[in-house]
Amino acid sequence: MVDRFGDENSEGTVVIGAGVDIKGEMTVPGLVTIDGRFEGTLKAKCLLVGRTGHAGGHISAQTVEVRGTVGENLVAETQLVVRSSGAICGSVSYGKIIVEEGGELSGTIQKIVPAAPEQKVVPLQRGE
Amino acid sequence: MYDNSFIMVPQHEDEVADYDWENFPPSKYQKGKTSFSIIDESTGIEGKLIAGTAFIHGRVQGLVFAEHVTVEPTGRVDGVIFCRTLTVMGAVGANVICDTLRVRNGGQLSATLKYRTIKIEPGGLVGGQFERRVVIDGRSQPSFSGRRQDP
Repeated sequence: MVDRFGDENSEGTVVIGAGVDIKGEMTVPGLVTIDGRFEGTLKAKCLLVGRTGHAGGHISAQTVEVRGTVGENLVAETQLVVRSSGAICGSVSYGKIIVEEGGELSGTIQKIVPAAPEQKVVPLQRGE
Repeated sequence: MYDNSFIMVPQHEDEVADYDWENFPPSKYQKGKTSFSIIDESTGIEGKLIAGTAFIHGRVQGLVFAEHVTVEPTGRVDGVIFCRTLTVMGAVGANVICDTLRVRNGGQLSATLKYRTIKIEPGGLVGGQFERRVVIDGRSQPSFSGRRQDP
């Protein structure tokens, strides 16, 4: 994607500022920063929930950093970081997890188990 | 000789959540002393382990009731853990009620967990049902800050 500055490697980003309240569905190829409130379905590459931010609903991203609050259903495919001011309550799936002291994690927590690589069956040749 | 057979093990989770660790007999007994319990790699315990401070390198199946518990990289605990601080570097598959939990690199915790403070370091693995408890008016209660609804 080429952005307005002519950068070819730019990925679309969304910033939900403090005081902004959004409900609905979003698919974002790049970073989503939430300092306001979001309720709904969100799929992004990276998600950053700021101190004043709240994300609720079905949230899915490769990497997630939580400084505010996240509720209901969260999937962090690669990495989930809960900072000391962050709180997550609900169903959480993660690839790797870091929780700083003071962070909150409540609900059902599970690690995403990577799918086993497909086993290739090679037939034995006569004489092997 | 110290006898801990009179210690009442809490029967209800609220009793543990509000437990008066300052007056926990094994901790009072070891106060001012450099004493702790080590379950070494070759040791397996089935039953109750009551101690002030316990370092578990071996395997415990049953109840661990101690002020400070460390499950070392070779250690494994299955059953129930009631403690003030729990550090996991090995494996825990238990019903855990503690004040402070730290899961360190290589630690694996699969638990029904009630805690006040949690820290998971990079490389730690956790799973299960977690609930944070906070003290309000001297009583330990579930925290719902994750469900906080701002106006």
